[in-house]
Amino acid sequence: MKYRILKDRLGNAYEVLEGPTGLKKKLIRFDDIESSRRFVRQLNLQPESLQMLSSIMCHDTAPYMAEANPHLENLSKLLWRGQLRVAAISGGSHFASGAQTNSVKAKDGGAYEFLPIFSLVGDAPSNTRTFSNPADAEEFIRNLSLSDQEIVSLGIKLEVPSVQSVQPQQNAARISKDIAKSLADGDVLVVAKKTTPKAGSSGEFKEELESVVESIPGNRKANLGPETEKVVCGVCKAKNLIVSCAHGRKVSPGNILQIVPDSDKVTKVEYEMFGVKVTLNKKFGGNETINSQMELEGNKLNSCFTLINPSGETVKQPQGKEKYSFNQELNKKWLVDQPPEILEIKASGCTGSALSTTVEVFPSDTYEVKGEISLFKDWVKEVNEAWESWGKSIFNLSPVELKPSIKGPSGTFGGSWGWKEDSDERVYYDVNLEFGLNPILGVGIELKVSFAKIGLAAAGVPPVISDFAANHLLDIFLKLGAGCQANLLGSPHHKFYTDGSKSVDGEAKFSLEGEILLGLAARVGSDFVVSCQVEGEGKCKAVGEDVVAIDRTGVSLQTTVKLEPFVGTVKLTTKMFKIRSKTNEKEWKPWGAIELYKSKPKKLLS
Amino acid sequence: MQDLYFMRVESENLKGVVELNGAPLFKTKSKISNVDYPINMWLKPQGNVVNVDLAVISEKSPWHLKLYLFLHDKNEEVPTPSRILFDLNQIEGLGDSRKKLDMNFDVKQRLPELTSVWAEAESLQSVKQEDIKEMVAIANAFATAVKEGRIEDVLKIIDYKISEDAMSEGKIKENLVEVNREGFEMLSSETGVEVSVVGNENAKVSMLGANKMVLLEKLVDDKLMDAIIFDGKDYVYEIPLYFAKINGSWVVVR
Repeated sequence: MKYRILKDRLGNAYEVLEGPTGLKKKLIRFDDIESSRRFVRQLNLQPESLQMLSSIMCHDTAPYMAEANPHLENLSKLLWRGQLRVAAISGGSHFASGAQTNSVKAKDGGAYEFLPIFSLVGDAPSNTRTFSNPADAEEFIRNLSLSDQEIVSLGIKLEVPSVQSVQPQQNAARISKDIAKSLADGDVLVVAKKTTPKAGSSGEFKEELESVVESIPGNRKANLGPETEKVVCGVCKAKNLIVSCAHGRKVSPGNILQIVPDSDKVTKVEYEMFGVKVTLNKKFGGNETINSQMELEGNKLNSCFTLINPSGETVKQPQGKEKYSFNQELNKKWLVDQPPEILEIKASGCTGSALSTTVEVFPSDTYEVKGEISLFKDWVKEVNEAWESWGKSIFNLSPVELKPSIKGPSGTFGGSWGWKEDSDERVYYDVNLEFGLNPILGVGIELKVSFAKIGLAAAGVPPVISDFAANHLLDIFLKLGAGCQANLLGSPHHKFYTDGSKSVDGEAKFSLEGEILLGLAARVGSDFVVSCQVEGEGKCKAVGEDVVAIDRTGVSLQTTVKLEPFVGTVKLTTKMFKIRSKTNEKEWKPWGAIELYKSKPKKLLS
Repeated sequence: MQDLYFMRVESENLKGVVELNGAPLFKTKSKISNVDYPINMWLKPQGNVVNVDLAVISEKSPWHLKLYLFLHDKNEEVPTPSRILFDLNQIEGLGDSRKKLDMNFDVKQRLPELTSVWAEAESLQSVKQEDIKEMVAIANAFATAVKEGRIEDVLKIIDYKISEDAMSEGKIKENLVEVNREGFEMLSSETGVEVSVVGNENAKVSMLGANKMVLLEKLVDDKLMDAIIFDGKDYVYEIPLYFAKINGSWVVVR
């Protein structure tokens, strides 16, 4: 891991971390890119620092060229996506917690710590050695009387240039010069460590690594007693690393385990569905225990085991067990694209080659809605308004004359969504809905109205009336019966996996039945009209289609109600004779196939 | 306002005829049909008979028939039942369950004397050939008068019918005369109309109304049609003729 230290305008310090982090870091999360931009701006970084940080990971973060400051934008994106992490640093620490310690023991018994400057927060401690030129620094190093191996090891840890280009083991002198240059340039600090002579010892000093954080002026640390040197075999290597969660689920062959902590908090939140505010039950938070078990091959000693737990803690045992707590409550309601927290567990033997497993932690936030059928009421109103528009356009009828009766919605509706663990190493975003709306809507129209009111200009006047009875419109009445009833039933259950696959079980089905009955009647006592017989080739039906779309973007519904065309003939019997049409042009066709209602796709969940 | 009676028929997937006292008041061959028909002109004081002669059109589709005779509710403008005289009670089925509906129903109620024809017309034993010729001649005279625009002659031929019409519904006869005049003037002025009238060679008669009336039709290509038909470009005008023998002469009564 690499460390960068940043300070904001208020003096708060942060570590910038690349890659997996330990559990004990107080990571700062960004719910959206705007919050990460604000964070970056208040760091007040110099342009060159901004550019350096934003180019740490160079893949898939092409600068957003329209942005005035593309490096700020890049860095904001890295932080928002979790590709870079920031953790708050507690007060009182001069150096980043967990900064790698590069301590050496000089032949004269002194002990020194070599620390990169970027791991320094605030002013350097008082026991820091500084060098004005490389020659002084070289002399200092010479006086440490370090072996070639120790020099090479130190150079590797400090990442001096010459360890990259030559076989380090063969060029201790060159590496020593590079270390000296770093000391002189101020890129590396040397801090003298306190040492306490071991009581009764033969001259070996107990070395006690004392963190600057724990240094308390005026107090001396207690003598901890002799330190036992670890004995290892030097040849074993890690063979197997098994990581599992509290539910017994194990890591995949690809060394990844996805988990969702068991939530332990509940609350209620408001949410808009179909444009209506509803109350959701929400669970969040919680924790999960991560177990790890490693095997070595070729080891003969128990002290060979090295296991690094998700928190970054190193244990010298083959088993590990840590509880991971998910404390953050996310604001977003639809979390299918929420990136997981990444944890890493490593296991190694004496040879240093390590096995690692990645644990991806997905949010435990789950939502539930129950019984909120009122959110469909506006939809019913829209369908009813569509019928009123139809009545107006065909027969010039106003809503007052149409007086549709409206039914619904009635029944049940519920759903839940959130991340869940599968039985294998995978998790999925679970969307489970139950529709039991019967009916979801019902609209009915029944009326009798004189053609005198409808008027000859209306689309729905039979030709035989307009051609022969135009002077007798008062004597002929339209009888209209229309309506439809629909229900939405079913339990679709969708699982969205992180590899893009999904599994579907069940479906929601919307069915609508309706018909329109048209009739004519002569006004009782008319001197002109005896009767009007209406004939047709079939019932005029209303049919409905509904698309319940469930995908990664959410759940939406779109409804269409269509009317079949009405084609009929009218036999008008007058006091004198019967009249009937004999050509298609004179049939009664008040409307063709029409789309009575088509809703925009309405988002139920997103 | 006089009591007014109606026959309501709603049929689905049926074709054929519904008769009241032998008069084919409802005919259909369409899959859906409905009508409210005033029947004061057709009701006798007693012994009224409804005859259903319908066949299922499509055996695979459902059919239904709703048929009832009712006294109209005077508070309503459109035919609305106030009291039911006869109700078939809606019958229905799938196409192949009953292919033909052939039923007769007696309407038991006694009704007031709504028209004169039942008292004035002779009860016929049979219709002879010379009777048919006489009725055919009247039909042809009628059609010619319409075609030639001699509307007064038209009105004279159907004078008894107009009187019966007025009496049956309590109307003013003169109003109905004017309506008829207007109607026949309109028909007379229609251009491009071909007239076909019953002739002696294709005349068919059927007795009805307890043998008080005769329906005169013409048989064309094995199909029975109304006695006079004016065939226009977009519309067909059909004039059925019902005769009765009153005071020794054949008279158009309906």
